[in-house]
This record gives sequence, C-alpha cells and structure tokens, in this order.
Amino acid sequence: VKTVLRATVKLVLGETWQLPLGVAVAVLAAGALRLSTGGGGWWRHGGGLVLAALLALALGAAIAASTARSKPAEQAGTGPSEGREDPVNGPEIA
Amino acid sequence: VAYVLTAVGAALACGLELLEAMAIVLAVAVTRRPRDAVVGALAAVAACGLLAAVLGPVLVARISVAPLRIVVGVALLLFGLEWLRKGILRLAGRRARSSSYAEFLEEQEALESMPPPVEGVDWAGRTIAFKGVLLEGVEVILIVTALGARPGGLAPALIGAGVAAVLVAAAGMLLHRPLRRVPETELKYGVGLVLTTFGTFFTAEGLSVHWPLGDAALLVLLAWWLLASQALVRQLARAPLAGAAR
Repeated sequence: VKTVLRATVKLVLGETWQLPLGVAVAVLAAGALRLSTGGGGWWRHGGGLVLAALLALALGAAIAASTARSKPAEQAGTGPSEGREDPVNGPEIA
Repeated sequence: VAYVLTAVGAALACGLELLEAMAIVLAVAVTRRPRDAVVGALAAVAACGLLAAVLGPVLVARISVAPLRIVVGVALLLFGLEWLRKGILRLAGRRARSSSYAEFLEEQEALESMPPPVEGVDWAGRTIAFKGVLLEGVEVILIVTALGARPGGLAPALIGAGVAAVLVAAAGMLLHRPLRRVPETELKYGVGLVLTTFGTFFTAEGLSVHWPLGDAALLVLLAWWLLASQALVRQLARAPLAGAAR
C-alpha cells in the first residue's frame, strides 16, 4: 500500500515538491488578483498573461532548485533512464 | 487549433508512456516467458480501462464548468511543467537523456538475476509487467482525460491516443529495435510544451479570463512556453557545471 501511495503521489505531483508548490502559489496569486479585480477590467483580457508569467517563474524556481542540489549528468556517468534513481532530480517526494 | 493541438498532445503523451511500458513488458518477455508478460500487461490494460470508464464521467458530471476548468488546468500544469522541467534539464545536459531502450536493458539485467520457475505460473514476471503497464497507463488516462474534459476535446484526445497506441503496438511487434531510434528527450519536451499550454489556457479560463484571440491564443501560449523554456535551457547550458553542482 505504501509503495502504491508513493507511486501515485509521484505520478500526480512529479519528482520534486518545488514545482507543485510553485504551481499552487502561482494559481492562488492569480485567484487573488481575479478576486481583487472582480473578474473584470484588465484581468478579463490580460489575466492569462499574468498567470503565464507567474507559472514561468515557478518553473524557473523549480529548475534552479533542481540544479542547486544536483551534479551534472556528465559527472554522474551516463545516468539512469526515466523513473529510475537519478542524481539530478532534486529532492524526491517520499 | 485546439483540435489539432489536443490530438498531437494526446498522441505524443500516450505514445511515449506506452513506449516506456513496452520496454518493461519486452524485458519480461525476453528474459522470462512471453506469455506471462502478456498476461500481466493485459491485466493492467483492463485495470486502466476500468479507471478510464469511472474517472471521465465522474469528473465531468460532478463538477461545474469553471471549477472543472481550474481542476483540469492545474492537472495539466502539474504534468506539463514536470515534463518541461525534465526536458529543460536534459536539453541543457544537466540530466541523463530519456531512453526506453536503456530502461529495457536495465530491466532485462535486473530480471536475469532471478530466473523464472521451471513450471507453473511466473507470478513475479506477471507482477512486473502488470506494475509497469499500470503506472504508465494511469498517467496516460489522467492526461487524456484532462485533455478531453473540455467541450469538443474528447474526440481529438481519443483519436490521438488511439493512433499512438496502434503505432507503439506495431513498434513492439518489431521488438526492441525501434526503441533506440525514438528521440524521446525532444518528444517529451514537446509534450511538456503542449500540456503546459493547455494547462495555462484552461486555468486562466477558469479564473474568468477571456482570451482575446479565442482558441488561437493557444498558439501564442505555445510560443511563450517555447521561448521561456529555451531561455532556461540556454541559461543552464551557459552556467558553469561546477557552479551548478554543490
């Protein structure tokens, strides 16, 4: 059961906590902006670009966190394939 | 635009996940018994079919439109941005390239250390094939369901997934040779771009955004994610390796 739960969490949230947290923060921030504008005005036509920018920041932060904690693939040999133990994944979701 | 992008996204995501599942099933078939590998894989396919039959209607029937768009959008963002993150790290040389063939060899090596029983059912072989297909299959179902949850999205999502399933099955019949030829890293990066594009589009719609160009805004978003991710790839590729590794 523990293995299945771990696999399911990894399947939905990915290999690190930074990215789902970043997505949550970006969507919540966009939701707050939508509430503050009442869903009209500039938000109605420009809100999508704000959301895209917030998500790009979340992606950049997740990548920065991954590389800060990892060794480059060249130093780790050929490296394993998808879903295997990988030295450059960042912190794995337990 | 939405039709084509949905079909392409579903086809690529489905094809790549099935390729990984096939690598595991082939490894079991080659090192143990083909029959047990097929039985394990078919059981997983049946379980995935059951999940798809339950998940799709429940998701659409129980949630009203705006929250549904946010739920579907965030699900696509979680999948898409994760594929994109891995793709950026691989293209920048910070992570090993994706290879189902390497996975096939690793699985084969691991299986060779525990020979199958001389007679009777090979439960270990069946379980490995079942688990491999189930995990990849569930991801396919989640992605295709999310892409198909939008009005008019089901047909292209199913067509894309169906075409990919047929192509991968045909490749499987030629055994492991096609696995070496697929540029998985680039294709997975492409899937990440498409899923993230749809995720941004749906989530924004759920938050009352009215895209000025309608569905054509998908192309603008695709270009945005392409530029943003390529900027990250270049930035990572230029950064000194020793500085990146602590």
